[in-house]
Amino acid sequence: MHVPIPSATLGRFAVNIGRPKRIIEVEPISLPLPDPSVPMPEPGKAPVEPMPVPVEPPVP
Amino acid sequence: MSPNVSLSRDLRVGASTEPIVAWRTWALSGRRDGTDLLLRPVAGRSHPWKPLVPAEATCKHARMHGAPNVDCSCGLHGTHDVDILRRTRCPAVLGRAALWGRVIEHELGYRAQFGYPQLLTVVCQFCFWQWGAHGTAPAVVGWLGRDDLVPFCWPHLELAQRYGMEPRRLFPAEEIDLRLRETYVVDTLAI
Repeated sequence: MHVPIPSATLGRFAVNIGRPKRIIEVEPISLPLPDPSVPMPEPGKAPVEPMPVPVEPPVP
Repeated sequence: MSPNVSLSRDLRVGASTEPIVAWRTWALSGRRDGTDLLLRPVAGRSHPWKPLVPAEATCKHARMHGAPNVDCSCGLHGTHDVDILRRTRCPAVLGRAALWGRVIEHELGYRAQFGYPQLLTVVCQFCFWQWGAHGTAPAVVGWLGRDDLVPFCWPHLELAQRYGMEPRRLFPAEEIDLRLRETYVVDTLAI
């Protein structure tokens, strides 16, 4: 099977995104940071459920 | 217009509470065992996009200004359209990235102060160059030394090997794709 290498293989091209149009001040976003109490799963494995914390019954 | 006159004088300025989401490609690096995956700019090995940390633009041309600067080409680049990215060098990962902070909108894309990937998928760069996002999904990811990881479909792996581009190790593309998304805690890009 012949698969041609496209001319872009030579491509050391930077992408030209044209002329600037406007400046936008965008508010910060919150990243999807993991919960530190939950151990990180190994790749390809299901995440481990955190152990439930026992709750002391209220003292009358 | 004189080259000494800043373009920023002519630009409208706006504000947004929502991040801008744009197309982007990255190079991919990782260890010989396929771990420690890192998204890297296609234009160089410096300043990787680290997992769980916002990428922040810096300018290597002029350290005296913050990035992005209207009169420079610095900043984290993203595009409106995916097809324009077919011209990028060594795209291993295609995705949608959230951009925020100071963002300069251009005719075909953006330059931003901060960014973080939102959706990711590995692509065969040879297919992507030819057919854009509709290329064949990669079957394997090759480790080529110097921590470079390159996804291939089977025909382009064969072609690469014929031209002496011999990966030292091969991983199933699905495994690297999943590990990459778990590393960055993002969803898959359905294309």
